Amino acid sequence: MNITTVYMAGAVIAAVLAAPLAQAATAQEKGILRVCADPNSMPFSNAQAEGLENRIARLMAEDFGWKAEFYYFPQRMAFFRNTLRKKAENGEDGYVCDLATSSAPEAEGAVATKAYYTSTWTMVFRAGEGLDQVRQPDDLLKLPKDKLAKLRFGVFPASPGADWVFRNGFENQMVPYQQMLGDPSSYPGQIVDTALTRGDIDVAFVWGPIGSYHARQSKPVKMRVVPMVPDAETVTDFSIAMAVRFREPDWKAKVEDFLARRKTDIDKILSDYGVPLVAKDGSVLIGGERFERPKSGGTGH
Amino acid sequence: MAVKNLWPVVALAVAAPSAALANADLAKLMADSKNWAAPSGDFKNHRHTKLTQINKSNVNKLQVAWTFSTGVLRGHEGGPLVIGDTLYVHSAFPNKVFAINLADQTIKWKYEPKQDPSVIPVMCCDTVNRGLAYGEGKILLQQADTTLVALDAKSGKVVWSVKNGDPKVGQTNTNAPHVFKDKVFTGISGGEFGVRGWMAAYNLKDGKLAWKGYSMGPDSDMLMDPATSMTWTDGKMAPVGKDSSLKTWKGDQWKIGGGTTWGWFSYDPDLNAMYYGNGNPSTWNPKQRPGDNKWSMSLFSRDVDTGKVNWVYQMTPHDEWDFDGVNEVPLFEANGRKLLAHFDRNGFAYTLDRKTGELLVAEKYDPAVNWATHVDKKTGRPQVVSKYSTAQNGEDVNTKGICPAALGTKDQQPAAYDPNSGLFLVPTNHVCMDYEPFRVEYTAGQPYVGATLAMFPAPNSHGGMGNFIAWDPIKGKIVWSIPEKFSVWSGAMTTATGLAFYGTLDARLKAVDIKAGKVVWTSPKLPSGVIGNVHSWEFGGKQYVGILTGIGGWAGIGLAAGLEKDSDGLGAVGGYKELAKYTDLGGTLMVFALAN
Repeated sequence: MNITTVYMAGAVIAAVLAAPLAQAATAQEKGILRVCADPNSMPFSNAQAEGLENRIARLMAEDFGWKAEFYYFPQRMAFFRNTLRKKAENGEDGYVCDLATSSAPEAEGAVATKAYYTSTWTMVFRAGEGLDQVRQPDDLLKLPKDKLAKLRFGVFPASPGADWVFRNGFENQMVPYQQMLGDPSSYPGQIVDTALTRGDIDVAFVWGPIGSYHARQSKPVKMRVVPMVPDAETVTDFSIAMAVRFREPDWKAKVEDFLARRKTDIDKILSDYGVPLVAKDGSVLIGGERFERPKSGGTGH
Repeated sequence: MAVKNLWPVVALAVAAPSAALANADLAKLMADSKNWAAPSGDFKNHRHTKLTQINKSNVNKLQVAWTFSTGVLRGHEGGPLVIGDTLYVHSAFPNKVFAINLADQTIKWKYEPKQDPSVIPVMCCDTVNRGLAYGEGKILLQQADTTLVALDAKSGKVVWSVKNGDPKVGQTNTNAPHVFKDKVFTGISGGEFGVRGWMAAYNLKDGKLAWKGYSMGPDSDMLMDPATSMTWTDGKMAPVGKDSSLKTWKGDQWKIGGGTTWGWFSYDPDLNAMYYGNGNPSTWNPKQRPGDNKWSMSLFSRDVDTGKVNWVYQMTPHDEWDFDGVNEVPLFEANGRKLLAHFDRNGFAYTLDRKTGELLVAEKYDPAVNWATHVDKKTGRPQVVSKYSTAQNGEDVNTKGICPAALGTKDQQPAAYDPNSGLFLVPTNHVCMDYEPFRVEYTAGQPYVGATLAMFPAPNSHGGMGNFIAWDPIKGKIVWSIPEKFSVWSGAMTTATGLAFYGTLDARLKAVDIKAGKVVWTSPKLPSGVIGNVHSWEFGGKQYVGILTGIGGWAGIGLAAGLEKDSDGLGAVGGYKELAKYTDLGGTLMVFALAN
């Protein structure tokens, strides 16, 4: 299976046959919020618990009067099966963790909560190299032909960036990168951290929270981040939810209640990490700078 | 169409035995059906035994002779080897190997590789392993972490070990290695990680890489000779020409182009050629990779010594459905012609001239197949039905009722050939899908638009998800078809006494009378569902039939997946719950023999 997935692709028969007879309430009864997260996926989470999801999880634990603990596994294929749906060992009841702090709004192999933010794909490039007037991808088309013809575009397969590159006939200037690698020390932000910094590429098309965070982290090379613009053919905006196991509606409701009640605090955390946020009118806020855009008509929400 | 026109009688040249010593040794072991000396029994991948002790009239007296647990719960594909008085069986990840003394079933030696724990994210999915190979006193194991290791068949000690790939860039292995001539052949998995597939040949003697031919890219990477590597073109074979792969990709996207190689390989010593198929064009959305995406989804014939492509044939240009082309390529002869058969995931069964690469037959081997009306014989291209084309329908349309589903009319579970009737006995899926675009994928912190498949039993049929069929590879017709409740995910085996064996996901071993097309024996309940392959051997004057049981892998995911549309929870719907009612996990070798 490549570009496509199957319903429940995260679930193998192991998880099925080991039917969850008991609600995984054990840790929760003990007042422990066990969070499933990636050990190396900034700005979202890392093993030092420095990411925005780590912080939101700690806020949730505090809100519940609990303690947050993290169970880390690289977020690749079958993440839910190896985290949310993995039975605890060493004689413990329940599962290794009970809440995934990020998920697509329709989870595969788990149940998504209501979304807690909407961001957009972005374009990141080095500042001061003649692209500073660019405020959206199509502005690149206005560049002098010789300048435009020299640009190298870094894209991930199946991403909106790849769509833009193909639609505008820049496939020979495209440098493909993989969304996920086998190496747990790799992370998608390397398209900015490494490829863009080093000059392998001139423009990186990257999911906003990742692009914006790594652009801000880049000290020696100053970076610009501008949002992509959705249209009839390309979805650029996506909402991010959390996820719980099937058949745990009470737990899901408790998480959703927190996400709604503490929205202001959550938004503050998101902005601390420079997450581009899409407003209802379609405009995008990136680090205090507003980009006006048409409202998204896609199904990313 | 007159069959005789299709089959001009060509006298077979009597080739001088050109094989190296190792090859002769292995060929001799294979010729004696007391052994099962290769993953598919022989170089041709017939999965056939000449042993005759078990026949139609006594097959119902089969009893369990002994059993052996691998101690591993993940899905067990493939099957053991038998060389003389020793049986060699592998397990799913962590890929243990046991050498079992057939005289008393004690363990002669055991090998358990230490695989790099840092590759857990790529190993996370149900890591099957399709078995071992034998050659020159060595047992070859292709580990999941891409390490290819040669073990001393007597002691289990490592003779040599080589890294075939790098898990850190998503490369893993599930295929069985194959020994042909003086080389070990292995492929690569990891299409989900954008891996560009290859076929590699290592020297059996010392593990040194002899050659490596990629699935796509520049001619030099592919070991393609623009002038002498041939392909089916306008009704005849013609040279592929320069950059035949690069021309069908945009920019550098071939570098992560897929076409992985995790199936079964076959070998013709006289032609000095080896045969295999490769997988789909990687992680690009179909609309982002306009063109044929050559040479993904293709059958290859390569020179065993140099790897040079003799000929190549693409089954599914511009794949929109995930119809990997990795399935086995069994070799056979008919009407004096050297042929091969291939039962593709795309639902068409192909017969080609294996010497020239000419396309002879391409017909549906499940009547449910609907995504293409037929394969045009002149161009060799499937004639795609617009309403089942996910690309033609566009990304905002839910393409419904595509048959077969992505797991194909058949996946890797290999068919068996019956040289007596000239028929193939084929384990199949009978599953269709709805292809739903605009499903948000979320991978490594990045959301993007992908597609989702919902799978279900072929409509207006028997309601089951599988068939076990007999196929006439010359006429291109189904001779008979036995309906099965679940997909038949077990490699078949035929006997010289006119029987075919296969295992089922609901944990039975069955024997079929090939002539009558009737099940004549069903085993008692097995410890777990079968995704492994049936094989046979003789020891101490007795014929045995073995089957590796242990459900999991794609079969588990596929079945479960398709029938779980209800987000309310597990087991709420149909087949998913059904299968759970029949079986649970666990790798066990089951061995049957006639009662004394």
